[in-house]
Amino acid sequence: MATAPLTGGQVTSPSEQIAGVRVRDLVRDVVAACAPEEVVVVDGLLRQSDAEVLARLRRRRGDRDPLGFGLADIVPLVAPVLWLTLERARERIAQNLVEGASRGSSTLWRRMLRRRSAPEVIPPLSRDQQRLVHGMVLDAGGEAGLSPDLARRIADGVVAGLVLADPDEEPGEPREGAEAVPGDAPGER
Amino acid sequence: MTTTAGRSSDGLDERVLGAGTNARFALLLVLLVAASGSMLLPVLTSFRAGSSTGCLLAAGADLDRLGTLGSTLRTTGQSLAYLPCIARDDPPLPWWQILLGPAAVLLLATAVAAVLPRWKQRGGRCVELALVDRTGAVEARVRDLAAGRVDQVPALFVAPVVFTRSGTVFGGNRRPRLRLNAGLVACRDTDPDAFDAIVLHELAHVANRDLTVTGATVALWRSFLTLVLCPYVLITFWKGARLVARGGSLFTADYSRQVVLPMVTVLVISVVRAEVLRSRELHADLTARRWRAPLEHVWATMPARDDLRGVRRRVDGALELVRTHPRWEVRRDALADPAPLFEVRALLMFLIGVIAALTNYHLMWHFVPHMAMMNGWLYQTVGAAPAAVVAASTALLLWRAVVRATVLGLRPPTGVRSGLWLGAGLVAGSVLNGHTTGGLWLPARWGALGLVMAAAVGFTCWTTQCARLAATVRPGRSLRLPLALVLVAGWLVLSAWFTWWDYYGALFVHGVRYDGVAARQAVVHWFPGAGTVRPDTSALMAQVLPVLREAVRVPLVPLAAVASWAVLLPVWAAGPPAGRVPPSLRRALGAALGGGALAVLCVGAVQAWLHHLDVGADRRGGLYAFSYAIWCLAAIVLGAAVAAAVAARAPALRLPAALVAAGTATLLGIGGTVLLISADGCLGPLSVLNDSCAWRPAWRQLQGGLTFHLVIHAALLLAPVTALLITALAALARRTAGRRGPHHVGSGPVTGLPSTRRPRLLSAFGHGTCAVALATAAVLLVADAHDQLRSHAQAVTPTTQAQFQRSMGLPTLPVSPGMRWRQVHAWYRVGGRYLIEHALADGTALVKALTEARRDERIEVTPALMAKVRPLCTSLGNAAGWEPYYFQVPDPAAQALWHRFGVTALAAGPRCAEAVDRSDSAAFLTSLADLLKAVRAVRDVSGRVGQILDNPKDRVFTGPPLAPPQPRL
Repeated sequence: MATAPLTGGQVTSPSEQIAGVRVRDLVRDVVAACAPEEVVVVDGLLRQSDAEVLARLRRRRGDRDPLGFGLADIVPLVAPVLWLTLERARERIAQNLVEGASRGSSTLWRRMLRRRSAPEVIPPLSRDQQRLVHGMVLDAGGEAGLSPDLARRIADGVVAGLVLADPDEEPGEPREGAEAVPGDAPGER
Repeated sequence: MTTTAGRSSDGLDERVLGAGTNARFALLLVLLVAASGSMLLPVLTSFRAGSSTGCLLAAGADLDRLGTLGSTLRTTGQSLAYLPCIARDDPPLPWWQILLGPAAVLLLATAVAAVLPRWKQRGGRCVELALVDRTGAVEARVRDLAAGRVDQVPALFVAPVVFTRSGTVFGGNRRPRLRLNAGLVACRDTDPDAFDAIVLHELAHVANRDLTVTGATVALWRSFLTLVLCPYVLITFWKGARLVARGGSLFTADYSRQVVLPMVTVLVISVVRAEVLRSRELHADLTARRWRAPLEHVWATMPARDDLRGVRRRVDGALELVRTHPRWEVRRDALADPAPLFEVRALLMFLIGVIAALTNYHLMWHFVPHMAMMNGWLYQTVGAAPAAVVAASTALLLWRAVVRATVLGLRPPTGVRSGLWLGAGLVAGSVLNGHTTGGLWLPARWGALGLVMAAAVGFTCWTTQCARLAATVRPGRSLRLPLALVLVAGWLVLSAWFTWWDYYGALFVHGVRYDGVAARQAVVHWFPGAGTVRPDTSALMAQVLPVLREAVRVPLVPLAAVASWAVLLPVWAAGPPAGRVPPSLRRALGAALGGGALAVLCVGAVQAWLHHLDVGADRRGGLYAFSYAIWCLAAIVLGAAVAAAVAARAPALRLPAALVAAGTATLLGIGGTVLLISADGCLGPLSVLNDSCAWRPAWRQLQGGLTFHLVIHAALLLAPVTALLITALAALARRTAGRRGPHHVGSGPVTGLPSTRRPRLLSAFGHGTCAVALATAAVLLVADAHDQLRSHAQAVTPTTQAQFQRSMGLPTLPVSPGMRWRQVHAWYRVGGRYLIEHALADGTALVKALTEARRDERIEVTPALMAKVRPLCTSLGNAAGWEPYYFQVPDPAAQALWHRFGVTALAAGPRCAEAVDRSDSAAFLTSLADLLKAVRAVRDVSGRVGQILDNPKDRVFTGPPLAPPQPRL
């Protein structure tokens, strides 16, 4: 994994930011382009807030249902790998700005608060930072068992998404065609 | 569910006779419900004030060795005092509280079962497919797959955060839900074959109706853990802590069992549940394959399994037992050959045995507090529940194996091996729960447990032979009816067996032995009246009859014994189509006719022999009449045995043939015997009991001592037992001969024989015999109902209690001086002091009156003295009248004195009153002398008790005395 130090870049903190790309939008766009078979899965994930999705993705609970098919092999899917990697990248970038702001908050209360939090946004990135994210996605894809070609396409898609994000667009508003954001109204079905 | 033994293109349909897994689920459900009641009892009773300690001690039981044979005999042998004492000191929990446990667990389980599907489909974990599948492609594919295969397309969900290539069905059979995991949804495009295979497998679960029963088991299991197991564990540890605080040891058989039993229950349930689920998976695979699901494609993508070695391999093997899904290699192989689904696994049979023993014991515990009001039919009902689930689960396993072997031409299982494992499970379960150990670590007499093994082997052999019969005589036709008949018969047989074993048989393992001398006395006095016979065979009868009498006390015995062979007749007689005589049936019925005729001849011989003794009319009761009845029984059994031996020489289906032959011969023998006895006196040289000819029904003539009941019930019971024994012996003999002669594997070909005779006659005879046999059993059941509905408390009288004490003994237990002190103290407190003080007061008043009436060293008998003494005589007699009803003194010396007081005063008291009424001075003085002896004895008892208790300031001597518990008569 790339460990280049984060240098330069006048980036505001997440709470203050006004421009950037929401992680969930980026995941959805990249999956729609690179792994269209997972669109249903991503749509399912998008019905939950970012914090809920991340908590569940990290938990990775097994399938122990008595009437399940019984195959415990985890399929390498693009969506979870991508979401987790982007979140890690976003955290690293944010961490560099606000050291230890909200890390290690694992109490139940914090978790409950987090679940109601607004969607995470990746701010506009410098060239170095984009390179870093690209590398992280490539590495994670390789680790998760995705083909190198697919991993490269995803990483390219991510960078394209980051670059092409319109700095004037308000990330809080849903784009046309996107689902309602549960981060605003948690638990909505 | 298909119920015909049909062959599919690549072997036998695996659904033949149903999967049999519902029966095993039912086994678990019954165990859980039974355990919830009995395991909550200690929890509930720990919140009550009552204590049975006083009654147990007063009865002379050893508190340190409760449950041992000696302690059990002390309480059972003094039921007249013990039952009312317990009712007073430690009243049983009300029924509603006893049934609270099962009811609460069932209620909670119902609630959990209703909530569980909603919980599984909750927002965070699941999303409705329709909300996220914008193109509708996934849903359309699932609907395509479901069309025409399941009655109802499940509601569809996606689990976007579960990345396995899998899915699951949940909910109930009526409202199924299918959840597709993210990995599975994604492979709809990338690997459509895998998607189809996995979805079809899940739909197969819906089609196989696995959902409700699985959900119910999960719900019941969780309710049990919450409501029963947790409180039980807490109470057990609390008891342990109290025990330690009092300086006791935790390493006792009793406490260890309380700790180990829940662990074993959890383990057994987990293993059996996993086994059932694994077999459900194989069935779902096969159903999916029948729908052309490309399962092979899924297995082809699976990675090869690492070869494990050493400990890891063993651990993996053990974990395999609790996994809910078989390894994929097993599933792949089962697609090619579903043999594992027909296999009768040793471990499963063993666990069924363990579960049966545990369930049985848990159910018994529900009723232990209400022992006094139990009657024969209630005991029978308790045994019927585990019998039903065990009969169903074992019979389905065995039938499937036999039918498969028969259809595919393989060697069918004999049932011996599975019976041995079932028996081992029953033995292990009963040793584990302490039912056969009587408060000790291990049973006192292991040998008696061989009976359990024999019964289990007998049952499984019988079941497999019934299955063979059905599969042989009804090829290609529905086996639903034969299976149903055999299931009912098996249930009856096991019900009777469990009831006998629980309340009589298990005592042999505790070490109970019938006292030979007492049993012989019982035989001699069995039938009322005077009479004897030469040669006297009462010693021989004393060996057999006590056991037989206990066995025929079980209410279902006649029906179970008859059903075990009678249900075979309609199956057999219906036979294969097109005029082919069913194999062996004609031979079996021929043997039965011969055996019946032999039995009647032998009864005639017995009559001729007894007639030849030429006994006077006043000497035809007692042992004479009893021998007559018992020798008639022997004649019937002989006829049945010969019939069974002849029928067992058949080339095939030997056990069914022997059973039908022995049963029918017994029926004929009973008919002939009843006729001969009823017409006693009409056939000159065969007259035994009467000199004149008249119709005197046998059941009236031999009513005394329930002799007729014994003869008929025992004859019916012994028919299948004899047939089983003779077939087993014949099989052993054939094996031995086979080793010496040319090797011959299996039985001969089982084919219908072409016949020129009319099979219709045979069929009618078969059906008719079955009907008559069942009707006979039903009549006996009804005739016996009155006695069987009498409660334990109603049935026990001073006479029956004395008989019990004579035959079983009532030993004074060797205990420590401290325990003896506590026993005597309790005896004195619970009612002994009341009786002694009454007797002493009467005695003192009597002595005072006599002293006042003394003139010149002689007692002057005046009407005034008589009038004054009479109430004292009556009162002393009354006090002595309590002696047989109250507990014996737990000290041999005091008991001898107490008994002397009882016997003497009970006889002298009424004599004294009579003498007063007749103004007979001489008799009056004699009775007074006896009464004074009795008073001296009771003074000695009092002195002895005071000497043992050795503390005049003890609270037992102060305050008003407690009246002895009033027997319920």
